[in-house]
Parts: sequence; C-alpha cells; structure tokens
Amino acid sequence: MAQKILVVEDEDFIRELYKRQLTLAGFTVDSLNSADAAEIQITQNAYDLILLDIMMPGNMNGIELLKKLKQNELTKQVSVVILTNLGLDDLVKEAMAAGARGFLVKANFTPDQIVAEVKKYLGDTGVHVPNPSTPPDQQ
Amino acid sequence: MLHKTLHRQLIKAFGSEERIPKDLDLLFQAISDTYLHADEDRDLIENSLEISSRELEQLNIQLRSENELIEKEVEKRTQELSAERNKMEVTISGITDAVIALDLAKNIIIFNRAAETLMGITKETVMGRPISSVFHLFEKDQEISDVLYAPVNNSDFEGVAFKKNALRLVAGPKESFVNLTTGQIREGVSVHIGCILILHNITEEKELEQMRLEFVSMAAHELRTPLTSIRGYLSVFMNESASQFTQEQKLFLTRIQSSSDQLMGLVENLLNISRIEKGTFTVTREQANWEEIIKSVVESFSEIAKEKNVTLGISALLTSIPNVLVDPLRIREVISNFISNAIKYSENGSVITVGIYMHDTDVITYVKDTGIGIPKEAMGKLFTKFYRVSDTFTQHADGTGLGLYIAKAIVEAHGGKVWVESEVGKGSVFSFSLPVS
Repeated sequence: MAQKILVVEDEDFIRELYKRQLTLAGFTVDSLNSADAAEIQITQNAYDLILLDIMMPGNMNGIELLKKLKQNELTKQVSVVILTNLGLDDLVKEAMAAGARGFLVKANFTPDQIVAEVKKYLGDTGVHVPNPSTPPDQQ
Repeated sequence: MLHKTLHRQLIKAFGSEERIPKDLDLLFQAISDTYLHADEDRDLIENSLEISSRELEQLNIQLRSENELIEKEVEKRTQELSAERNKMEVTISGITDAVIALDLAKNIIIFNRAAETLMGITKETVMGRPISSVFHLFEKDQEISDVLYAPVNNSDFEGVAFKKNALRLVAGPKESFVNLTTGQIREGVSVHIGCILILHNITEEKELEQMRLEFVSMAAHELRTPLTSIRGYLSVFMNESASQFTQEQKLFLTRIQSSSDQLMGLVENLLNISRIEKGTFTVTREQANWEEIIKSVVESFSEIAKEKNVTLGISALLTSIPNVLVDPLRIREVISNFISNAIKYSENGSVITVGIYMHDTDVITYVKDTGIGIPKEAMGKLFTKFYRVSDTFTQHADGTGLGLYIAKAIVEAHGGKVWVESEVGKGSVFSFSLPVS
C-alpha cells in the first residue's frame, strides 16, 4: 500500500505542483491550504509524513499546529517536515524544538528534489537536515 | 588806642574810663597789641578755612560728576558684557544639535535646549552633575565609556577627540540615536572646560532606514514565492517534455531558466543585504574539509569556464590544510563569487587559478586571474554595497555590485578578512582568510 502524505500549503501553485509530483512518485497525497483544516484531517487520518508550511492564513500557523499535534496523544507520533520560504531562523528553530523532523526551504529545491527529500525522510526515521539548502532567513 | 574788647573789660573792671589807672597804660597797650595779633591770626585762620572749604566743595562736586561718569561707563560696559554673554547663551541654546560642555572633572557646565529635548531632562537637573550619571552611549550593545567619548585630561590636544555615528543614547527612559563629535580646545584648561560634546539626533533617519530595510526584506520575501512557483513548474516542464522540444525551443527554455535563476540569485542577495544591514546575518559553523569544499566549488564552474574558453584550476598544495570551522553553504558563496567574477572579467583563453596556503593560524584562499585588472581608484570601494567599477570596465559584465559586499560580510562573520591585489591589464588576486578551527 502506498505511503500517505499530507501537504499543508496555502500557495495554490506550490501545493498543486508538490501534490502532482508526489503522486507521480507513487505516494497517496492529500493536500490542504490551512492549518485549521489540517488539524481535523490529521486527527481523522493516519499519514506517514506531513509537509507543513509555516506562514498560513487562519487561526493557526504551521508551528502552532505542530505544537498542538505533539501535545495530543493521538497525533504526537506523527512525522512532520516544515516547508518554508520565509525560513525565519527563529521560527525554524522553534519548529525543530517543537518536534519537527526537519525543514525544506522551498526556493532551494526543484519539485523533484522535494520528492527525493521526502523519500529520504520516509526511508529513515531520525531527525534529518537536508542538503542542499541555504541557511534559513534570520529576521 | 586800646583793643575794643580789652577797653570794654577795663571799663567794666574799673567802673569808668577815667578810673583806669594811667600808669598801667604801657601794660594795657602791650596786652592790647597781643589781642590785635590774636585777632589778625584768627582772621587769617578763618580766611584760609573759608578758602579750603570752598575748594573742598568744588572738589566734591567735581568728584561727584566724575563718579557719575564712571558709573555710567561701568553700566554701559556691564550691559555690553551681558549682551555679549546673552548672545553666546542664546546662540548655544539655539543650536539645533545638543551641545554639552564638561569641566575638567567631567561635570556638566553647559547643557543647551537641544540637549534637554534630546534627553528629556531639564538643564537644572543636570548642571554640575557628572556626565556618566546623565546618559549612556552604546555602539550596538557595547557601552562606550566616558573615558573614550569625553576625554578631559589631554590638555595639549586640540580638535576632534572622539567621533562616532549611529550611537544609541539612553537617558532615563528615553532612547535615541545620535552622531557624536567631541571637541577639545587647548585653552579649555584655563577656563576649566574639559571637552565639548555635540550630539546630532538621527533617530528619525534611523527609523526611516529601518523601514527601508523592512521593505527590502519584505519585498524580497514576497518575490520569492512566485519565483519558486515559476522555477518549480519550469523544472518539471523541462524534465517531462524535453524530448518534444526543437533545438530552438530548448534554447529558449534554458534562457528562461537561467534568467529565473539569476532573478532568484538577486532576490537572495537582497535578502542577504537586508540581513547584513539589520545585523541579523549569522553563520552556522561546522568542521569541514577545506580542500573538498574548494574542489567541489571549482568543479561546479567547469562548464561555465569551458564555455568562455578559460582555464580554471587549483594550484598544488604546498602544505596540508587543517579542517576549518565554516558555514559550508555560506562560504561556498564567497569562493563562487570570486570565481564567477574572475571568469566574467577574463578574456578568452586566459587562466584562473584557485589556491590555498597557510599563514600563521589562518587558511588563506585566493582566486587569481589574468583578466583586465582593477584601476587603483576603484580598489578601495570594491567591497562596498552597489559599487561597480565604472566606464570601460563595466562593458564587460553585468551585476548588481552586491556580490563582493556579501562575500566580505560572510568572511567577516567567520572571523576572517577579504582583500584584493590587482593591476590593470595584468589581472587580479582576490583572497580571504579563515582562522583555523
């Protein structure tokens, strides 16, 4: 059975592109455009990996969702990789501290490289910081 | 003829003129003479007394009038002096920069209106107090001691004793940014003035600057989102449909891709600049094999070098190079920038050499070209923001003038230095040092 991935990203073009490439690579992919919607989805479905954007409109941003997931007995084991373009250093650090497995700076990867990174995450279980990526922004 | 007074007394004494004994005439005459003399003497004294008194009166009048003149003169002078002093005070208080004078013990003796406004303190509360108890100055987060900014013991010195821009001034709850210039005068000691501080308020400029930085940073971030889409879709499109393209279509797509990469590079540079200027540019260092890094960067330029018919190589190592503590991605940008500049400014058929050597405890890396070289007048400005070598030299290449500025910031964030040696027509050597971990 195909591994299940959830892409949470508010930029339509990016979300659709990642979904397409991941689907072509053989994954079962769900995608959502807000953290609020993702919270409900994640508590009702099991995912092998969640790609989670940080800055999103709505009541919650990605980090707040991540923290909630990690505090919930039902969802605390879920594997989350942060998607960022803002790449605020403090936010990324905060995400790592909150239990994210790693982060991907969108601008530094082609969609196929993103797929390759996802495969790496699914292939091992540890925390992993990808290459190539420039250091995230500091603001 | 007897003296009248004596005559009257003799009549009184003897009862009548006839009874005055005639035989005593001689005696009475002698007494009368004495009276006369006495009268004369008295008249003389009286006369001279009268004269003296008149003279004295005259003198007194004269004295009084002279006194009045002097008083008037003094009053006039006093007025002039006070007008002069007022003029000085009004001038100092009217200067729109804060002016503070300190005595030889660093106590405040002049504190003008602009200083009051700048610090939100009244003159009365600070006069005579030591400067260090009134405000604090910081450069970034480092406090500057009054030993530096307010030197008072240097009596032979005259001129600017301290000058620094964009200092943070903290006076009570009030915070602002100032450019400070401290002056000293040689005569100062004789009038007990240690030094004079001029503080120019730049808080507003600083706020505008901050807004500009925020804007650049925000604009760059916003640009990155659609660019990521463009590059993402383009990459997928080119991968999946390459076989259907004609040669020309492939060329067009390659050009779209290289332009979007270039645009992304620009946006990244702008982000880097705003980080550098906001002081949030940091590096995450790790142990790295320096030779490996250099090799891989040089390798990544082999295609571009070949296209331009430039020979790019690494010079043989003379000693082994220890590991360095670097942010690999950031430091790659530096070498990449030097190599790409060298290629850009090199003529067809020239040679570019990348080399590493040790100098004390520093690893020095250099990129040497045999290109057009850099004119002397441009050397000092090469590493400043937006600087590009002018006229004939710029025809050779394009660029934003940000690369070297960022390279310098990256190297400095690693505790190293960048420098360049060059000769027009012969070529340039760009070098940077990294302290050994």
